[in-house]
Amino acid sequence: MTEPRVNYVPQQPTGNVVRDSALGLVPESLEPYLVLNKAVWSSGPLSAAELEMIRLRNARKVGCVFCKAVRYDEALNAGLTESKVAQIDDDHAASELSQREKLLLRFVDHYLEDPGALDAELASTLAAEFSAQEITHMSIAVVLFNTFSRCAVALGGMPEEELPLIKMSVPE
Amino acid sequence: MTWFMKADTREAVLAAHPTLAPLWADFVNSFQALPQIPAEVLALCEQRVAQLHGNACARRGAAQVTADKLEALACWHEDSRITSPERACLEFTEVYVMDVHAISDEQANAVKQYFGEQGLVALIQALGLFNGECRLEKLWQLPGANSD
Repeated sequence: MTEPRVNYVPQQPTGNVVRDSALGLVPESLEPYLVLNKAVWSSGPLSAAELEMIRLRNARKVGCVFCKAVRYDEALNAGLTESKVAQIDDDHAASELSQREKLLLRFVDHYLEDPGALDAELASTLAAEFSAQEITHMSIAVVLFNTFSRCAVALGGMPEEELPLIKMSVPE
Repeated sequence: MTWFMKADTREAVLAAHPTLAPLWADFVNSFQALPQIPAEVLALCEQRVAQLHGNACARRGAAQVTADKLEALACWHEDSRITSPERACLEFTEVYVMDVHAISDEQANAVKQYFGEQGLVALIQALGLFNGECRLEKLWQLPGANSD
């Protein structure tokens, strides 16, 4: 484990993992982030299970041990299973995931790996499967998830070993 | 024009989700005047992120970067118009964009030396946003986004 680069202890812990984290040092952005994040999970049109697949694909690609361990109640309640989660790996194209789910993951992979290289065929397939509102939703979601998984890495203190699963609700 | 709707700006695309668009704007705007780190420094880092991505779309903080600073940015390592605090943030920015796992304690400490732990957290969050917007613009194929 690397050493944390910020040693923040809230004066009045709230029990909320985000509010009590180093992000509490910047309350000006913390509040709008929490409001936006909650809305991403609750406003649709993508389901919480689809959003969790996006979040976990990002977590695995970024290598955020904390993010990988979390399972949001909202996604589990929407039907996401560990069997499905196990298929969100580099071989997802050959998995038993649905065509729609595979397209979601391909969108995330392009965002993370080479966003300028989306070819016309995949763009056309994505546009046929998802509405403009759905693509905007997945776009905001992946930026948000990526921003905060990279934040966790950049702040240091990341364990090297995998953590046990942590079931929790989306922080408010 | 994007490949999924008739829109050629970031804001026009975001408007496709009327619930999230104003909340996204609130989040983004929260970085415009933070007490933890000067807006001018964040704007300079935003420009550098765009340069690294080869993305020529207009940046939110463009008005806060002088023409002189912008000219110096491509060679910031050796240009005296870039101050030491800016240099610390730009070095952190470059590693953040290229490989976030490669950030060293020395690079983080250099930012903290000028802006404290609060400034480091603010910079890291802002970089996530800058990096994310550049990537989205490229993925959406907005005009100017893929200028490399």
